[in-house]
Amino acid sequence: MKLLRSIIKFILNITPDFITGGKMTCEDAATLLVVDSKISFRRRQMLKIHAYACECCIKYRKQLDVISIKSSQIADIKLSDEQVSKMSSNKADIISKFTK
Amino acid sequence: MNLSSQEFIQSLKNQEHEAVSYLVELYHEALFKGAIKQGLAPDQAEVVVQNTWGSFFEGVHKFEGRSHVRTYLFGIMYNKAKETFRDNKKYTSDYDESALDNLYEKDGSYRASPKDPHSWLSSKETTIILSEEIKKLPENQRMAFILKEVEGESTTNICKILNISNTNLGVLIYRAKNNLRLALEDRLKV
Repeated sequence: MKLLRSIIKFILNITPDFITGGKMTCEDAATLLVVDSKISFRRRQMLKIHAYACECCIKYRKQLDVISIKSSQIADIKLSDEQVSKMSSNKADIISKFTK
Repeated sequence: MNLSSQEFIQSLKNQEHEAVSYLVELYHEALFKGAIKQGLAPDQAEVVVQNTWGSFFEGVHKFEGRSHVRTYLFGIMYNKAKETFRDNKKYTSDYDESALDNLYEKDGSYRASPKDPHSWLSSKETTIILSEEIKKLPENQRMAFILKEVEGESTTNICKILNISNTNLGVLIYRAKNNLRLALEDRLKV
């Protein structure tokens, strides 16, 4: 796998810019992996290849994946019994206050 | 009940009991939890939610139904939360983002390779540290990140709620995620 990645990297380095649409750096890839920006088809393919071949970007993407997974796990907040009963009375107050 | 229908919106404008109670029952708890997720203490979250309903019903006659009622309502809540953050010193802190400016060499490669996060997924500490670090983020990054990654809101809705452009949102999310991953690298010591 490492050899394949090295070969891809080498090919990318010797491929002229007019074919690749410009060199893709780790900095470019890091931004594009996070931001949903509109990029050309050729650039998107370059991003995919770079993100596959570059060890740093693979780790970077893994880190982002873990952050997304763990963030979704903190979505549920459990309320205490006291908070639930307080909420019920607050809801009743709001409904009576804003109803004609 | 169809919350997007003109009939329902008109019922809210007329402050009809059925529509008001339906909306309050549906979203009160979600608003409270949303305010807590933004980092507010429960007592302040409660105040923010009360004020949100107040502003919602004061301004509902101007609501034209261009966005979903939920988006409109949560937009008010996030603005109230923002005001609370700004009014309370305990929520404002100087966040050091200097590490973000030194991530790359001049040729765009990493100065130091990101660490392999293989142990982050299984570690119980990760979620705890992540929650703590999210709370420390600068206000605008925190709000954008929570809406996108924790609440799972769409990009369009987040831009409407925070009143920012798509590009601006991208920058906030990029900075937030990088700040968080650097903090995790530092604290989890893989």
